[in-house]
Amino acid sequence: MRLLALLVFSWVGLATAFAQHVKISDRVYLIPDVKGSTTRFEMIVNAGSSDEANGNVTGIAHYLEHLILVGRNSEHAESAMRMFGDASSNGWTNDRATVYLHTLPARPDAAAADLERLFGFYAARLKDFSVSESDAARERNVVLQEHDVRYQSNATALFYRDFTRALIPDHPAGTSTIGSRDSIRAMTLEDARVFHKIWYVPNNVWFVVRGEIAPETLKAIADRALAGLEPRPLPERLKDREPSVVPVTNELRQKSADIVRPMVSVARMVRIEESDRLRTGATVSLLSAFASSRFTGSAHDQLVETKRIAADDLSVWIRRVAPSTFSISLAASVAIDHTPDELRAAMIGYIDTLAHDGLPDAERLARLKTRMGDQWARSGKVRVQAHSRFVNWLANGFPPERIEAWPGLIDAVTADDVQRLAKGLAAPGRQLVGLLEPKDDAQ
Amino acid sequence: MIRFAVGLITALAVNISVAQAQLRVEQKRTASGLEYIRVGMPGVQFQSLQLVWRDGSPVAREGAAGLASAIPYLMGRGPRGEKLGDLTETLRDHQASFSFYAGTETSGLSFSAPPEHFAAALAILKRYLDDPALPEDRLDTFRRDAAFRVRQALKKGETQANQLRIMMLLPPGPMRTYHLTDVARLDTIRAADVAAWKKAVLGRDTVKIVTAGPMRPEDIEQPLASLIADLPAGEPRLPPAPQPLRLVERPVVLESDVPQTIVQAFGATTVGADITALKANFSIQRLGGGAQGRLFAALRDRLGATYGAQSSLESLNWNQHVYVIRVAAEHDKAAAAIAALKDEYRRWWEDGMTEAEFAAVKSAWRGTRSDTRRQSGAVAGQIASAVAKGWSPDYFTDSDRLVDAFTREDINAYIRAHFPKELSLVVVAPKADGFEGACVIRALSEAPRCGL
Repeated sequence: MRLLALLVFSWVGLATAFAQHVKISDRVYLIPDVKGSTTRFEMIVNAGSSDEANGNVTGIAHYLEHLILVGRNSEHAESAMRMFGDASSNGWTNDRATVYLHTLPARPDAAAADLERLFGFYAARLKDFSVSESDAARERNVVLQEHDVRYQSNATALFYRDFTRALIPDHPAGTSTIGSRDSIRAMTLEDARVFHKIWYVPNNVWFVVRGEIAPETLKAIADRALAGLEPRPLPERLKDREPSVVPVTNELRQKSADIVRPMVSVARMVRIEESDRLRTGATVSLLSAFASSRFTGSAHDQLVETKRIAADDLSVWIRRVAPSTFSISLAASVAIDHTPDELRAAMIGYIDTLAHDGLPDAERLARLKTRMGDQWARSGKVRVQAHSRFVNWLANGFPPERIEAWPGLIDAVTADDVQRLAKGLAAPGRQLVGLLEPKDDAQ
Repeated sequence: MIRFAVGLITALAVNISVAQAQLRVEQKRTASGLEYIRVGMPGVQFQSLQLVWRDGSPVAREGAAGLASAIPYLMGRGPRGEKLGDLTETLRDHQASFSFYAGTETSGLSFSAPPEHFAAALAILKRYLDDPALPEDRLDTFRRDAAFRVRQALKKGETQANQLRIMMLLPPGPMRTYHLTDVARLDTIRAADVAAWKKAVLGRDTVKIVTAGPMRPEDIEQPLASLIADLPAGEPRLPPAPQPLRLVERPVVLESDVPQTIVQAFGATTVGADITALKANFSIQRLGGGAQGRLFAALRDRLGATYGAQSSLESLNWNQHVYVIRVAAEHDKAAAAIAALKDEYRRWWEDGMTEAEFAAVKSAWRGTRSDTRRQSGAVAGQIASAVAKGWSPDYFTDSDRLVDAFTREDINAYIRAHFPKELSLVVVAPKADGFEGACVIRALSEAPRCGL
């Protein structure tokens, strides 16, 4: 009997050890990992720059991430970036989420104590955060330096920021998370407090831990830390509104002394009805994988290899911008011996051809589906990848219980689904043609 | 029976963690006599392969630097008579990838595929290796595209600072040309040069082979032997001896319209080519080392002058390593940032790591090593690099033993013995005001005025 119980226990233990994620409580998940592995802790706040007040993105969501990480609080005298001397800590913000992450070295018998400290810290941060005015002002300057590293030193990034805004002028999806130099300078600690009060609530937050810790131990730690945090209603999310899609073609032309070669970008945003965001997402993934592949009929095959009209920095994106709103974008440097006008015409022609032909044959769709299925299954077996996949899933606002459905959704996509999406992308929509050229003296 | 089952389950669970902590490295020989190193990694998803040849073709003569980019590009264009796009997509079906490289000390290729696709994907790689198309017209397009990329890169303050740093460290010669970002570096390279390199370097008797992953030797050996069976025998080669470093000590300021002041503080070390070089990497972890580092605390947390300060030990080749600190700072705070940077470096050099820093770095090093050993590509790559240098293939065991034995006194003595007391400085800023004693130029072409 004792042996039988041990056998059952061992099977349960083994099943837990191989599970991709284990639900600990409504908001807490564990990715079990093996002995000797690092412990990874992440708090995901389902609020990013597109949740800023009235869709007016100034960069406050990102600034708040900095303030939480550098503020000194009663729980710790040092900034959260250095809460543990031997850990690596960071955060990131995008349009949909703000994520705080800590990777701790394997510490036999001490993982629980480390997690106790982290859960305690972040539970307190859901109630409040404290940072001095001088630290907040200094950190605003750090954000400004980050902006300059990412944008001010990169003419192409600046151009695409303007390009995206021109394509989507009336929706937070058209903005950049970090804000502009002017909006960063104007941010205040009070703005950050207001954003924090609205969005940093327990029903808008997930905790994901990867490591070697017993589920019941993690549950006890999380329950203790999160006890007493009351859910609050969340306001409407502006990113869930549809942007206007008026059929029009606009142009954005810029010149820069920091560019030596002309670049062309063509984007089209259209309305396509969707019944389920994830189902549509699976179709978008497959069409996007084809368009950015090297298959015959892909953008690279047509524009780089065959016509040699685009340089090999060509990129293609098909994405869901907002509910029932999708875009396709192509961007590349103009190949030597060709003109921007030729590349622009070829890019528009490619979008129309893609719409007409979709995926050239069922065999290619089957190959892409098999590939995606294989990659999904394989990454699920690698703990680090299973963890980051789950975090990204939650950060995208998808419900955790539906992650298991994703391979089935990919498998269920039909050639008709892909064709319908491709045709939809060629429908009249908001089209933008961008040209970034060198200033004459920069050639 | 039940007892057996419990034992099996327990053994399986324990085995997974043990396998990741201790890598089993074996010297193997195929039936055809091919020697290779196998690292068994049960449970990982990919079988990785590294082929390494001792070589230094891009620094062997002036005008050869372009081989470093022409070789990966042309060898990656695929076999004669086949469509590159089709091959690329077939490899993606196999979840396989590979790339060629050519550097100052070795040339080689890295390959990775899941076990069930290993043999099929390796057969495709064999076609690339045996009969590459090496199309001259594509190389011409690549050359002209590369010239644009270089000119674009030279618009950036960081690239400009890199150029000046290399000029301050290296006298004119092939090594300097290799490390500089140069518009004309591909002008002297033709497809025939890559063909000649392939014939001279990629020999079946001169290759060192390391493979890591879950596959059994009997499943690896036939496709591996087939991969190199049709290569020429090859002759042993050695890269040229490196030129001695020089150091122009006077700071150099390039006046340029950059949005942030770019600072590079650097110095040549005497870190050697043996495994004790690990001490150097260990020692710098809390000077740079991201948010945990002293530079981050001083320049970002206290001054608010920068988003971050990066520091690294950069290898010009196996025997010449340079310590470099990179900062992009707000113009008004750049002078203060440089003063703080120098102060932190001086304290680190004189006093070394504190007891707390030493303990934290050791804990981080020990506590993260099992994660880094779960990736077959990284394991194969590091062992291949060690073997090429003549170190033992038991690199991971040796490095664990070495790091475990480090004492704070050893490390601090190592810092003073192998790192320079003072760092040299390159600054790229709109105005040179405030950077005293510097040689000031307004374009990289004026660098000779500073003795570069």
